[in-house]
Amino acid sequence: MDYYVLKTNNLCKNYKSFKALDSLTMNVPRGAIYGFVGKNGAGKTTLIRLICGLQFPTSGSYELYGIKNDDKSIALSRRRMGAVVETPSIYLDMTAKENLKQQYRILGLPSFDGIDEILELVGLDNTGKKKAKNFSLGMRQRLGIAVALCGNPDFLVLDEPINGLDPQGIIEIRELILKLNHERKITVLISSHILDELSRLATHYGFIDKGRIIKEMSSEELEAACRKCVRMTVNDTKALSRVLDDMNIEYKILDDTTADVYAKPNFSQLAAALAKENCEVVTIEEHDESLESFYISLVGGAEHD
Amino acid sequence: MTNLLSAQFSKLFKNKMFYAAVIIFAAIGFVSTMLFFRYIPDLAHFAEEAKANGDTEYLQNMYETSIMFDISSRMDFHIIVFAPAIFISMFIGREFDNNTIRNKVIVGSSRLLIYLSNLIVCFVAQLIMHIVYCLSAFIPSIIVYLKYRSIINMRFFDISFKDFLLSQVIGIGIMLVCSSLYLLITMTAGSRTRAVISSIIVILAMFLVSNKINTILYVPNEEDYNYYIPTYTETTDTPDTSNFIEFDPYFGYDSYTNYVESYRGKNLKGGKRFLYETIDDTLPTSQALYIMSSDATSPRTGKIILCDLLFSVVLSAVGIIIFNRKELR
Repeated sequence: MDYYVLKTNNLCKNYKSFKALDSLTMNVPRGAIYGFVGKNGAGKTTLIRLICGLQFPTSGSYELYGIKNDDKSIALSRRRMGAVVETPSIYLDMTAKENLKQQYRILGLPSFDGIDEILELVGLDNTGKKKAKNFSLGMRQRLGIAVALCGNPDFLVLDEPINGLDPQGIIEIRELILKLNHERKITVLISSHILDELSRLATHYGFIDKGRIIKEMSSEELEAACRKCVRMTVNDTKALSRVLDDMNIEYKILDDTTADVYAKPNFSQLAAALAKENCEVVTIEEHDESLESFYISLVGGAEHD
Repeated sequence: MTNLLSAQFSKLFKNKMFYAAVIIFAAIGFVSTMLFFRYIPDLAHFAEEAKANGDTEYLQNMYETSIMFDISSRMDFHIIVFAPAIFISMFIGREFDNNTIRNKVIVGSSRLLIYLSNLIVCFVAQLIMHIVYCLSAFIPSIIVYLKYRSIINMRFFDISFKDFLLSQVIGIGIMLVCSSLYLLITMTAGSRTRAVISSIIVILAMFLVSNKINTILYVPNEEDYNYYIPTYTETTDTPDTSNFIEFDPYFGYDSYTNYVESYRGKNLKGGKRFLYETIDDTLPTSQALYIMSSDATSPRTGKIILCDLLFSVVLSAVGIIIFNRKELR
């Protein structure tokens, strides 16, 4: 059984002379909520369109559940996924229930069992005969997700699902995604440029800029990267390690000369202890990275490549 | 494909525009038939008078104006070629406007099957409209026939039943070609508005081409040309047009003569004629005129049906190839 639901390998997509995706390689682990982060025009929606089969790669490939995109049996893999691409694809002149019935027919499901449960899950069970054209934006987004949930997919792709939503709507969508992931074990790929919101959801991150993945990391790694600390530059990190261990202070060695110290020690005592070990302190600075500044530093770093 | 067909038919039978079109066809069928036979009560009155007066010659001449249901059942084909341009563009085009076509592609439905299911549903929609038209024309026809057949010498079919069926088969061919053509336009255009505009332009162009080709094909051979020129008799200064068979002198005789003269020597023969006839046989607009004006026992009937099948296959194949490569948003 594949650990990754989705793997892309040097995926490229050109629109005439514009390169939307540039050798993009990423991996979405099974069971994850994968936050796909990038600014407008970075290539998030383009990638989603490719993996949903709406458009075709210029070069490169991707695999869904281990099946390559040019394999005829990719259609079977697609039956296991649902997606909301940009805007929800719903029939505005139908009710919520009729929309789901229509999707059930497309899937060839033998009965309409489960529709009421899906509507209840997304909070649209009381819409009755109200047509989708009379829904609010948040309700339409939830209906789009409900349509994507028809057929019990285990991979859900959501393209900027909280765009245009009010705070209440954002909270509802977030709680729905968490519920789907925790209770139904659905892997979720969610693209957004709103970092703060993603940080409350994602277990894994992929940062994209100019059609390329800049970095992939887990939420633990991101948290570690953004944690408040004191960054020390010394001439002997082994000596620093011994001293910090003796003082029971949490730290992380970054390289031969740098370490992050996750506490505010008594610097006088620390300096004295280091002096005994013949360890010189070169610099000490406070390090407090927010998710935004981390992302900016990533993208800024990429620009200088 | 059954799931896609089920979904599309479900959408069709919930579509208000479809029901509006069906009602319009029913209304046209009923009203046009009633208008077509509006003279029957007067004719019945004159027939009864002639019978009372023993005027057998008058009664015999009435045979030429008897009721003919088969004509009214063919009158809608000029609408059948036009109405789907609007209906198919709007019905299928909406899937691109609201992006619901994505729902089919994302879950792994084959683009070929998506296209074919759309084609079948569009064809069936047209067939339903035509059947409704025929039934609406049939009802007043049968009422008039049953009421007056003892008074007037009436026939329900002017042509044989076999020829009537053949004309309906051509009609089905027209519907197949129209479905294929407008679906190709809509699936290529990718939006309702572009599809409607493109389809209307195409159908108007086809009407113009059909008219032009029709006129060219009916230009007589050089040796027969003078047969069609009006001659003036010695005792009257109005032209004798009794030898006019093909052309309709609706301009007035002098300008009509000039019109006829302008075509002298332009009759087509050989390969060129075959090419024009083939184009004429292929265009659904020409076929609609053909059905309404002539009988189905012409040797061209088989060729027309074959052209319909081939043209539909070619249009559908092109449409499938284009849709398979189309990048959806």
